[in-house]
Amino acid sequence: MAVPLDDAALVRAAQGGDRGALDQLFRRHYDRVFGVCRRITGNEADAADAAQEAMIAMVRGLARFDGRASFGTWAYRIATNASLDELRRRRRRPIVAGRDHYQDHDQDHHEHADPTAGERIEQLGDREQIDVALAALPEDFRVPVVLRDVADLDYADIAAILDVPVGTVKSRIARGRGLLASTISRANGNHRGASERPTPAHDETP
Amino acid sequence: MTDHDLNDELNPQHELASAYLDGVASPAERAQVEASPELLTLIASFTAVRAQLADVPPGAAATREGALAAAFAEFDEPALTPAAAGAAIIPLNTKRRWARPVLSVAAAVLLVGAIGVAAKGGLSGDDKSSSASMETSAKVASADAATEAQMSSDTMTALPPSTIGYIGGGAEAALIIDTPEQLQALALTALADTAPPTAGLPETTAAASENTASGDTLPPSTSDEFTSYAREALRCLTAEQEFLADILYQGTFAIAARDTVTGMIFAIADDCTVLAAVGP
Repeated sequence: MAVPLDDAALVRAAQGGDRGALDQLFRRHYDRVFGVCRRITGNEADAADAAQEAMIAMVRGLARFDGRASFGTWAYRIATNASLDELRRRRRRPIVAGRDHYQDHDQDHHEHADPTAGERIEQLGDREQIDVALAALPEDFRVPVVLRDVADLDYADIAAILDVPVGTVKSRIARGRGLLASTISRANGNHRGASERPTPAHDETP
Repeated sequence: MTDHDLNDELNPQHELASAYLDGVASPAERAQVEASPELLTLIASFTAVRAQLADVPPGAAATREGALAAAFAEFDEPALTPAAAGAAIIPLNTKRRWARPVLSVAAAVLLVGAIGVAAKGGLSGDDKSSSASMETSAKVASADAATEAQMSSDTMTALPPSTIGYIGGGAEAALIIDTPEQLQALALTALADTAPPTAGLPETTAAASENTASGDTLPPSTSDEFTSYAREALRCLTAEQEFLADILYQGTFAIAARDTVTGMIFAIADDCTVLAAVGP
């Protein structure tokens, strides 16, 4: 039985025109690419579009991929950018009727978390709960949390993708998790633990 | 303290629990966490959040295969020649299928009309040779326009929709629309699908561009940028909206689009501003 090639070997083969190697590489990473897109965009349709854009961009950029970062890190960076592009496109779309909660929240994505999110997700299942809680989370917090907990990237990789210092990544992930836990906890009627009022403290690491 | 204050300050307990969860806490911090029931509870809630986040609903197999097929289509494209490498490649949009013949016929109508006016002015003088020349030019121009319209039609018949598009530069036509009524007239014509937009339609302009034709092309792709659409405004369309035509609405390049659900017609600029909206 053949030993599966690692990503680096597959990348080299694909760069040399080996379609099979590219197929293997892409299938290995597609689910996580889609997961990143799904969590950042918040819905299946936009995630599908973003994931497809990301895969195409990977093909276009493959020749320039130099292997300094892992293929996964590179792929998730592209998926992140594709997802953020998708969100920007969604915000620019003319809205005639039927706004969804993601569109509403995306209007002020750099502003505050939605304090009413907890009330709106009380009746939802776990998967829907996390969707609504993520939608209420400002994008600056949502993306690093997704890259950490879905893409399993370390702080340094996330910092490189977002072009912010590692300390900022660390604090944003902490804040993001705190807000998510608080929202879900409140929705479940559990005001202990994460929902406790935070104590005034430090500024975010620059 | 309100919930909004959560955004303005970092709870050190959250940071400590988060660092612990990610394995980046120092030995002293680890000891602090493990000695604190409150912090352990917090970590349990973060762990639950992480599990929920990681539990991503899987994409449909068809979605995955579609994405991979699109990627491999890109991979399988033959390498561009050096001359073509610098050219913008225009992605294809099947919704544009009727626009070319419509614009060609509109251009022909305008051209014949303009030459007719010019010829009339020429006839009022004594220059008969000029008049004859005009007449000849009008015939040639008319024939050219008709040929172009016929070619567009033939091309669309001969090629599958996915291959219809533009490559490279050249002039591009955009309908000049100045009023909501004209926008509505354009839409009515478009809904007739193959009928040329003559009644109620304004003049046509040739919006020449330097090498990428009136925004109908985008600069060549760089790194991870995506150039998936012809006009920027096409990105603004929702799933329910369909492209009708490239237009110049009150001096702004835009597209006309129709909401297939409500029947509303929109003029949408490249920055997604809705310049006009008219009812069905």
